[in-house]
Amino acid sequence: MEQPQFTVFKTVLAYSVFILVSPVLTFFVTKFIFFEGFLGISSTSSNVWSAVLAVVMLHIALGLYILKAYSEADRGKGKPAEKVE
Amino acid sequence: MSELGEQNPVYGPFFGVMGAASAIIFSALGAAYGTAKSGTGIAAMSVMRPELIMKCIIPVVMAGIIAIYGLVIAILIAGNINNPTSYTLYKGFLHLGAGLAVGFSGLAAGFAIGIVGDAGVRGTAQQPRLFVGMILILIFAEVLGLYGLIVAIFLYTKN
Repeated sequence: MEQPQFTVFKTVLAYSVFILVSPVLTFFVTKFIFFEGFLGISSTSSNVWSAVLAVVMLHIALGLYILKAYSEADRGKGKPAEKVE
Repeated sequence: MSELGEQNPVYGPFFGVMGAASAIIFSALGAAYGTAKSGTGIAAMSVMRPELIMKCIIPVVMAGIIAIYGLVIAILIAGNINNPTSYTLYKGFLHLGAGLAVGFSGLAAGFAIGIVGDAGVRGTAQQPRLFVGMILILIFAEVLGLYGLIVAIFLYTKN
């Protein structure tokens, strides 16, 4: 009983961190390294494109979480957990 | 444009600052409502069906995403605000409009996610096939915030 609860917690924690960190990281990495470093685009348009990429990344992360939750729930359908008194 | 004038008065940046502030304030308000409302639903549901928690965290995640929209626009605007000699009033208005667009769309989307999340999570506990419908409705609620973000980015890039 204790073990699956911990694994679920680990999965949720990992996905939460991924969802929160990946867009922020995408924004700053693409802005400073890719757009301004590599391509040398001006500040405004590099801001906009990094923001767009960050939002796309966010939705990819969210989609992965939904996929995981969906497949997870199908797998663990076996027995309903007992109510903890 | 190195001195104050009619096009770039001293109060010009006020509008930009208010745009950045309202972007994050209102979307955080919507996200907080969405998280709290669907959180009560999850708390009530998971007493009997704790194995569904992983599925039912999704409304909370989506509410969090609303706040990230506001954060993105607030960062964009804040990075572009300058001292009034090189910041036209027109730019300030654009930034105010961008901030309000994403802020109020985020507020609306947060309300929708909260109410749908609460009812959907409680319903999913009794009929698991409702999950697909809940996700679909949540995505449509979420897209409202995305529309605000798109308009805000358009306004932000205007010169």
